[in-house]
Amino acid sequence: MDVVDFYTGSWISDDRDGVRRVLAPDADIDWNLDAPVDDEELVQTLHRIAVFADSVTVVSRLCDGTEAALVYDLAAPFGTARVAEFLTVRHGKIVEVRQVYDIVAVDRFFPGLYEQCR
Amino acid sequence: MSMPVVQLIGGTGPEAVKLAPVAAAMRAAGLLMPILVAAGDQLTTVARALAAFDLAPEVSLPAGALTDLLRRVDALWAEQRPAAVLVQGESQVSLAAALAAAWRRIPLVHLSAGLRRDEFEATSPDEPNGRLIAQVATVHLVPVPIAAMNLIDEGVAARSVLITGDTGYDAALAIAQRKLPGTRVATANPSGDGRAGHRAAQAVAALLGLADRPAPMPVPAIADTPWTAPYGV
Repeated sequence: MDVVDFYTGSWISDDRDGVRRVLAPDADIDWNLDAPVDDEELVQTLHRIAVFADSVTVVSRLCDGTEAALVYDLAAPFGTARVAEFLTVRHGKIVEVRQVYDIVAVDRFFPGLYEQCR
Repeated sequence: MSMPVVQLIGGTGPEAVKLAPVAAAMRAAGLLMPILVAAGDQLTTVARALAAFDLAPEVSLPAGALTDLLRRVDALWAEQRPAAVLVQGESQVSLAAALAAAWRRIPLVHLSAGLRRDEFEATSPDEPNGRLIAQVATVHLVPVPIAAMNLIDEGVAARSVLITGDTGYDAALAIAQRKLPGTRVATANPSGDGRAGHRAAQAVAALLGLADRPAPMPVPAIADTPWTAPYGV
């Protein structure tokens, strides 16, 4: 699914405009971080991850029609945090994003990642 | 009316041993239809472990990387969507099933949830899987109180956690009673009372609105618990 690959490639390479281009303005976004989220907060959080992480690896990618399930490993200087992401695409835009972070690892290895949006 | 199908997915022998009492309890209660699914690279071991309880996997999914496992589990559910899914432990198979359930919004029950090591740096390779499963599970069935505390520390809602006891204890007891008829349940065992499988089965039924939420396993008072000194002191 081109849109999913474009979105993934964009945020991993810290291309915020690329992410905004495929994210629907009224996208339904949900995550398990202890902070509110909207489309711009998602973009900024992905940006902070891309900047701070030593590397981001797509461990698993499964697409089915308009839906995709992804698993990433976010390698930081002192350890790795895993994230699952579920996307729904309609008319060339991502209309739903659900992210599930390994909260313990994120808090440990990506300190302050979502403090700014609390 | 047909009973709701609950798929119990295991990828290793120990997982199968701990799932067996839950499957047996579901069958005995007659509210749910348990389907045992073996997945991963230890299909023979899983089948052998289940055979000890006169059970057998009804579906076998071959091994593969995380994406392959996700795809196979998802394809299975495309044929027959279960009412709920139950996984045990922290293996790659458990993670794949848990993520597939989260993706397809199927209620997920995690058995033996919340078990963590003391030192973050000394974690097992599977522990990150367990932490991620904890974030997507609907109900967390824990063997011991400390596991419940671990989950709450990780942000899991306390109301979704139930202390069932260790189904591995149920399994050991079932085998012992078969080989040594008359074996009795130890009363002050901190990890089980032989009812963990029943509590787990009832918790799944409760999740689906078919039963009341079971009471947690009574936790023995510290004075009743066999004390073991740490580090051999």
